Amino acid sequence: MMHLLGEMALWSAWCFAGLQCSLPIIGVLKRNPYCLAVARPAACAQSICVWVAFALLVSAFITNDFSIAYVAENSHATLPLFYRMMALWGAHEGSVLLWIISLSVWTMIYTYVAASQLSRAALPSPGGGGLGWGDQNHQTSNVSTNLSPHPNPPPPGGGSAVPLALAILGMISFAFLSFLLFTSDPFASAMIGMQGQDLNPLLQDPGFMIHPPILYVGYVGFAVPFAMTEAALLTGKLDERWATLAYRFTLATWSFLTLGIVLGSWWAYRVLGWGGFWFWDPVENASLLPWLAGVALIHVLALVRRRKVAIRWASLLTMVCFALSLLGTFLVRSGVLVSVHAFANDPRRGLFLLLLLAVFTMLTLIINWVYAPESFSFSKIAFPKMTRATGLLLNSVCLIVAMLTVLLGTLYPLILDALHLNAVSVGAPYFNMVMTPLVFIVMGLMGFYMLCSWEALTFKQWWKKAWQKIVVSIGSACLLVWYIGDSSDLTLFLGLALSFWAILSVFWAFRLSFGASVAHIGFAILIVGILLSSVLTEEKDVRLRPGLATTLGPYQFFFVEVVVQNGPNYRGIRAVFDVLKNKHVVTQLHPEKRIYTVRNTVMTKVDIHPGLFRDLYIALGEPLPHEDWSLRIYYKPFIRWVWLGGLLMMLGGLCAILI
Amino acid sequence: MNRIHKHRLYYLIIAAISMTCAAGLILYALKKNINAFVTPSQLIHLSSVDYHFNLGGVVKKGSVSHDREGLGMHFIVTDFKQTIPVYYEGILPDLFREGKGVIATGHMNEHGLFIAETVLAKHDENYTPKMVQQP
Repeated sequence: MMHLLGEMALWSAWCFAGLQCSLPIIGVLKRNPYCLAVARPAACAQSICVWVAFALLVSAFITNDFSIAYVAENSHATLPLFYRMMALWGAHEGSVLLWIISLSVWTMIYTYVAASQLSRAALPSPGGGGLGWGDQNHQTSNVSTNLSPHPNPPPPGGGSAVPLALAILGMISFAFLSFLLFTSDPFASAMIGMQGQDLNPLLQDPGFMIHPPILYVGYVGFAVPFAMTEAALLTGKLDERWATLAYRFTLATWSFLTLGIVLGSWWAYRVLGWGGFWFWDPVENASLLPWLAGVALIHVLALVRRRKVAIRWASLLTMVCFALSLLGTFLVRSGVLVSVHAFANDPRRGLFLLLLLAVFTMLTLIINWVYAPESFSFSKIAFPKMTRATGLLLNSVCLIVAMLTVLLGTLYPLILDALHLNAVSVGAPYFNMVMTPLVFIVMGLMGFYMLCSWEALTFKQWWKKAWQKIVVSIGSACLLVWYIGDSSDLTLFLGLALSFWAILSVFWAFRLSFGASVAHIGFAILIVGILLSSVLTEEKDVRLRPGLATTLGPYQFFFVEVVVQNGPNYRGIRAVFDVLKNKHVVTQLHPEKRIYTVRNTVMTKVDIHPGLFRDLYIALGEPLPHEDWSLRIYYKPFIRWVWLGGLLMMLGGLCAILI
Repeated sequence: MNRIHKHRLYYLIIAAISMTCAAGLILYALKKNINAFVTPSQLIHLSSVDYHFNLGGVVKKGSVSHDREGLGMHFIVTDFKQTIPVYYEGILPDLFREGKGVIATGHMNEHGLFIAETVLAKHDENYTPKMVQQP
């Protein structure tokens, strides 16, 4: 019953998406206002249908409806309710549904924002006749004024741009709904008598509750600036209004992406038990790629808004961002990678996504090529060396280069594998090696150009502003490196000096651009966190039995006992540790080892004592003969700063939208 | 050649040089940090084995033995044709089990023992490296 309703909801969403993408295009070609007017109601209807399907699937999980195969594969009657509500995005089908849900949310936000902007724009124009989007017959009135032979000034930004953008969003939605319905139907019914196979134990963690939705919202959001830009290109309206709206949407989606990546890294730190926050895993890279391109896009759009230059570059970057989020979806969802995230192994899925990526990229490249606005040259007049405009442009170039190096390292093994040449893996050292100099260059330029303004400076004027900051940052970096006692580490010294330099130069611009300053400080704090935690971390693998103690850094870890601990869907063992510093008990830690009975998988549950300046981290290994246990203990200073920096970046992004 | 042309030429030269440098650095970094996947059978035929690589295979049943002291352990990786003894010191991943797929990164020593620095058991319990086919 439930699965029938779900199928119906998805199929009607598919139909509405078809209407949403086909009719407005016909409307543009035949100049038919009624066809254009279909875009918004179709988008709303599609959105409602998708939400109904989503609600049905969630309720199937909550009520343990194992007649649906997807529920049976990813849930179990003993799974706690809290996890049952989120098990929907625990595997492939639900993740694709989540993708579509995020797209419909962004589409709805876009229609709302575009409507309110149009109605605001329509108010002061007396003869326009545009009643705005808030009105019942919004589109008809707008378009009819556009097409009327009278010399009335048409309402600015109106016309066919918004329905066209909705049509493009509809196309994306249509493609993904087809993907969902034809290759990975979440409502397919199960064989009779299935018991439920439980959620993957790695995902049974509170961090998992919010990480996938936020990340998907961040990923998918790049569809909106993309659709807007293509529509603006087709209608020849790459104007200030487009730049402002695209800038805000990019900031919003980038902020969510940042938060999603931060949450994912926090989850990996706590659940995978390796004590790291970033592994350069292809799936992590898949989320980093659109992030890097997004940073570039934000800076270029800021430039476009201010100076009306680099418009083609901006429109190309919106495409790059969206193509990268499609690529990320392909990498994660096609099953070409074997990792925590990728389970599916149906070749049709990979082929479909690859085809989709190819078609969208080709189409947009053609649109960009044919409809591009008047080209301009990167002349010295547009970009004098010592202005902020040049800085923004350089930033985007650096970030795109960084993106390409990560892309190369991620795709290299896949390409070799596809050509049957060799099976290889590209290790984290590659990424660290190529990213470190790039990050340093970016930070140096960041400080340099934050001190410039939009008007050209001479070097003398710049030096007057900068020399104190340079002295202070080098001095404090020296002091810190000396205090740590690792004076030979040039990378650490350079990184710290550049981070201080970036922070100090930002303070000058705090009043002018609050959000950007917060985000830049966040980035510097992130780099400080990465550098200090990687240099100062102490790690120890030991063999220990209850009653014995071991020392790490300034802390003693005393192994008290092992107790049995059973949960609703697992059996387990829990170790008790007293942590002492200078003979005072700091805390008690309880790392666990669990066996999830349904899937018969073993899981290590680490215990962490967090702090702003250091984390203490214990992971229980395996039992050895003579009541011994293998243990991994970490003392991780400044690790929290990594996530703190990420959160500040997100906040900065959100502030920049509002102010 | 007027001034503008000269400037353009300079920019082009600078761009070309920096691109070459970047490409060179990237290729160097890639070359240093690529780990090839090798199965025990391929390892037997390999002449020089003093480099770093990933050994992929299945942990032979009944081959895991822990040292008396410390965290050292021995086990045997097999592809059902050849076997390679492995020594590893450290914590094993949760999914490491006898009879399951494993990827060990490390190098061979002169006695034909593979010294593993990291051991990965893939997160999919049915996963075995592609090249190793169960008989």
